[in-house]
Amino acid sequence: MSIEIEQAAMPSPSAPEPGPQSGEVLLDVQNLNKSFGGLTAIGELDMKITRGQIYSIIGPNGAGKTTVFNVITGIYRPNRIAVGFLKEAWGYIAMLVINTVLGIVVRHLGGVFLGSLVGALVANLIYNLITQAIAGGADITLATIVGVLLFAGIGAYILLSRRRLGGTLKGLIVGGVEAFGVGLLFFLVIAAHLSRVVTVAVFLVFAAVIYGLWVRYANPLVEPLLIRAENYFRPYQGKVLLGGRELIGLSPDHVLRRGVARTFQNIRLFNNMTVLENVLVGQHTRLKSTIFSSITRLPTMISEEAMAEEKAIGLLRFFGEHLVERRDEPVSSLSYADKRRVEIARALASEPVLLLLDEPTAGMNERETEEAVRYIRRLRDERGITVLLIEHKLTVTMGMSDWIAVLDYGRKIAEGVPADIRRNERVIEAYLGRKATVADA
Amino acid sequence: MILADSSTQSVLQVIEQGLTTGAIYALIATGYTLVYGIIQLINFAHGDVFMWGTVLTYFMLTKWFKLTTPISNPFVLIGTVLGLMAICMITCALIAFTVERIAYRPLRRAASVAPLISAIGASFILENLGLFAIGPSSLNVPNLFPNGSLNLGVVSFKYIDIFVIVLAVILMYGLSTFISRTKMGRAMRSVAQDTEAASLMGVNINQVIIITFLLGGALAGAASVVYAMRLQVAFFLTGFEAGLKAFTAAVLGGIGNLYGAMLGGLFIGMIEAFVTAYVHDGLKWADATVFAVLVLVLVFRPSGILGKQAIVKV
Amino acid sequence: MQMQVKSNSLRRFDLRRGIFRGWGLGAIFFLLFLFMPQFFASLLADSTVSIFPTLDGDQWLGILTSAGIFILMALGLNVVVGFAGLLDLGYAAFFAIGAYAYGVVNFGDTHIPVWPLLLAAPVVAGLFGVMLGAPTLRLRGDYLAIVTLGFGEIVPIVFRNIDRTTLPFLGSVEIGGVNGLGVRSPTPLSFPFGNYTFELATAAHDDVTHFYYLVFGLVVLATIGVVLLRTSKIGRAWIAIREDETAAACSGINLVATKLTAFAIGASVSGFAGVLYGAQNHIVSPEEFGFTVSITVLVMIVLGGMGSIPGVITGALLLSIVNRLLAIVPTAIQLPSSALHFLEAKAPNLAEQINDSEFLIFGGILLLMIILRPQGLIPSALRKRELKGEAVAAVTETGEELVVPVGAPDDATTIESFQELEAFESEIEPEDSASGTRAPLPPGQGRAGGGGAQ
Repeated sequence: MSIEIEQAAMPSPSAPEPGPQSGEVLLDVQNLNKSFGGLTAIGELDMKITRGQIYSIIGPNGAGKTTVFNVITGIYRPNRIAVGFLKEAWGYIAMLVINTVLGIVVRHLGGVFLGSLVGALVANLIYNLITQAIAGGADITLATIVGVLLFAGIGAYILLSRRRLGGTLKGLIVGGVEAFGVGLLFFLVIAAHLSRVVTVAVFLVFAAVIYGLWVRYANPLVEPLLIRAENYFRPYQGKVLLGGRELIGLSPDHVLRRGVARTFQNIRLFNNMTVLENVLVGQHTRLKSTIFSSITRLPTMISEEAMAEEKAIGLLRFFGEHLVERRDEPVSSLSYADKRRVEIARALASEPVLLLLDEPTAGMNERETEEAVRYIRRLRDERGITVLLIEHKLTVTMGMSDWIAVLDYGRKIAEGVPADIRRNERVIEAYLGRKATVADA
Repeated sequence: MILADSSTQSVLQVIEQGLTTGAIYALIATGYTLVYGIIQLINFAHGDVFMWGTVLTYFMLTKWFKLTTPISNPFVLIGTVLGLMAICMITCALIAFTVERIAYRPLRRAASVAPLISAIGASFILENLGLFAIGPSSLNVPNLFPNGSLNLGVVSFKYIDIFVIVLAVILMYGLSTFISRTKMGRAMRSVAQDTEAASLMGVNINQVIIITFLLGGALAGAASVVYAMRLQVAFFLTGFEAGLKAFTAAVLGGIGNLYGAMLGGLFIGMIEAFVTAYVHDGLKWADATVFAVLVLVLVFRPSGILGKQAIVKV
Repeated sequence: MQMQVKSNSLRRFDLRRGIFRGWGLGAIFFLLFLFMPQFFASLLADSTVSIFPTLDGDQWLGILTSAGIFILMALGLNVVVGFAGLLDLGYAAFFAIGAYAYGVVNFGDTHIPVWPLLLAAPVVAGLFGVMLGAPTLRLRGDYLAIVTLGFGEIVPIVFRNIDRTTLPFLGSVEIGGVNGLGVRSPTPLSFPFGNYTFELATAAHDDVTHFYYLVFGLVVLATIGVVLLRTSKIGRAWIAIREDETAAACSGINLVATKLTAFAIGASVSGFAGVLYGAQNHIVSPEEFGFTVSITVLVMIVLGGMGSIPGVITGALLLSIVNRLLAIVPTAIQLPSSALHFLEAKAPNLAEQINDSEFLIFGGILLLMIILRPQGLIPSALRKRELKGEAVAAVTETGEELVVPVGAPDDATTIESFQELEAFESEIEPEDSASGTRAPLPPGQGRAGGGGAQ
């Protein structure tokens, strides 16, 4: 058990030696554009990040570096393709309708409707079975067959979706227990009072259960449809492909599910949570416990939480034993450097393939900066995580990066290995020009 | 012609009703929107400041000055009403100022939910002080305006309605001029944009906030006089009812946006007038419709009709 | 290796803490409420202690029962406001829906036990919660508050304006309009079990004690449930959303689903409380579910300490008892006759006025609490700091204070990178720095770029 945890916490597939711009492209950014009002924050940006690289974006303040991160992680949407007023209006209306129908009706009310329908049929079925058992006859009608099939279907759906979502034998058992619990509750109620009103109550309970399942399992089916519709009716400029799959249009949590985690320029931790809880939140997408299993503390939930805490502690240990010791303190009591470390630990907790670090050494002193450089390297070397980096400290970037892109006013003015960037005239001009402007002011 | 049709005539009449009510809502809504624009606070007590204006109007008319009959001389009438209005404006501005001092200033730097809760507390206190002052039943306020109306053929304007609309236009024009032309107005706009930057440029933040509350209170005071006379009631829950609708108006228009508040006020007034006139049992459903429209508008335009979508800073 | 062992033992403790906390808290309240009637009964028995001579034991139980109902509501609202940070000002709407769900089926000919309703009403209220929440939860902060406030106003208006209506499964039902519904007590639910019959609680007058224990059994269950939720995945997600929405979304939390869950759970608990309220009070009328109820519950959780479960329970218990006493006591106090005459001359309807002043006192409590003790009576351990708005100084490990204010890190990094640029510059061959001057930003782009783009 503990060996297993140890391995889970420290996956160390040795990363292939990253050669600049060779090997498999992990993140492919093509022709990305983003403007705010009249200001172009990113213009026609192309980037190709190879798996296992440490890729840096540098540039003066206001060059649009953080905006690149925000677009990749789904916080901002890139510009749409200009299609003319009429087409745009039509697209807007179409999306409004689709969103309303698919988003509200199908996603929410549809689940409730379906739930009450199924609940009604099943209630009828059991009612029939009981009355028939009492009467002594065994007259199986069409309704009963339909009911049996539906009931079996729901059970199979619960079990199979658990399996599909990566559950083990335990997952199957939990699913079974949950389904059995619902069934038992239902049976007790209906056996106690066979009145019309009780049937209503039962329908509603069923509606809620089915609704919950619907939201949990049908939503992932609806979401891609919405994104496709959006991309069809109101297309965006450019592409952001992660391993060949489009990221634009996804909400931040779905981007994370695909394996892109990030940190923020001005540290954004959950200040009133403990260090450990912060890292646990990072594992949100990897935990499978439901409200039901949380409230009943099923064994699966408890062991899952234990694994999660073990993993979180493992991640904190990556940054040094002192963080492990302070894991139950509120994160706001940590030093600035430790907050940055916890933020990276939180991002790592989601098991990303690509990690976006927004100025990971900002506000650190020299010793802390050196250490940060070391652990970012270790992330790549020990865990095989590709790192995309924004950094102001040029000593850091130059020493660590495999490839550097230089942004100025949202446009890439140069890219290459550090040695080339050092000699690039446009880069020097951008930086020196910037300096001169500030000095004048 | 279609306009001559009697039903069309009543449509115009309904619009006139909506315009007048809307003008009053717009005046109150401006107070909400000003405060929200400057310190991002829903000033829940604003409606109750307005209620105190109506209470004051009641006391002035029935107890202090004993003006209970309509005045027929237009100059005397307008002079009297403007005089009453000045008293109400000053008092309401002072009440708003006091509320700011006691309930909001200590929490200037606190998390967002704290000032909102203290605003609700202040609102409850003002409301219940009103209850102490005039009791739990609604009192009858005399209307100084003669009951006649100006008949324009297809539509007739009651005298008080004309006064309300003209007053609202003048006050709104004055306010937008103040905001866009004067030094203090510029300071207010700068604080609304970026409080820290404004204070670094030498703007006295506290002074700006005080002025904002005074302005909002004064507008509510002006509205309260005509509101009380037009509906002829003073009631301690007026603040909640009218305040809520005015706030709805501010949100509908896009809170923080002055023109949004005016537009929202008119919009709400119109909805109310039309529902009351054309829906069966409309009076009962007017409020519910207003809130339903609010929910719908916010669902499709989360920052109101004229509001700008805020960019999340990351 | 030793480290591993140490962390393992600590880990077990960490993990069970949630369970201990939940069940422990539940047990404490269970014992407290179990003996509360006896405590008040002993108060009444000792006549020298008795300060409220006109209150008998049943009245006390009634007060405690309604306190229990408010505790349920406060626990539910705490999930929405305290945990998930969504300001819900229309919470009474769900309470009304629960109460009407009870009232509708217990009026006239139909009457059914309270038990199935305790299952159905929360579901109905929860569904309404979802229906309101699904389209509106993407609104932020104040906008959400005003939408919920609007919803809270609509629901009583609808109940007030409808006399009869037709519902699926139930047929034509009485809603009662302005007058509300006079509701009969729930009939007892009996379980035949062998030769015995188990009868479960009703709210009839002769059965106040049973109803009291029913309500507090549910309070204890709700407390345990809420604590267990707080210490699990969904609870962490709620707090994360409250603390920082953007960061939460970037940590993989689906904002809409998570908020919707909080909203639905809050609404369900409120609907639950509504059923009990209807069963206890024998009347369900639209006037009882206005804004003041929403605010009262909000005051309870603010008073107790938002997000802290012991705090919320204490706040709700205190305020609802004070609330009921304010309504009962003025008529019960026996004043000396001279004082009475004096008061009657000065203030003819003093009792009424004290009665009415309930919300004046509420307002005062709210204001004083939020200014003087914003964290509440019993704040949650980690949240004490937040509401006071104290700046948390960022300190490096070496103890240097940083010049980096959160939210405006650009300036600081600029200075740093320029210091570095000196070094960078010296490495490259000297450039004519006079011609390096760049065109300044076009007008009107400076601030927007600084605020928006970065």
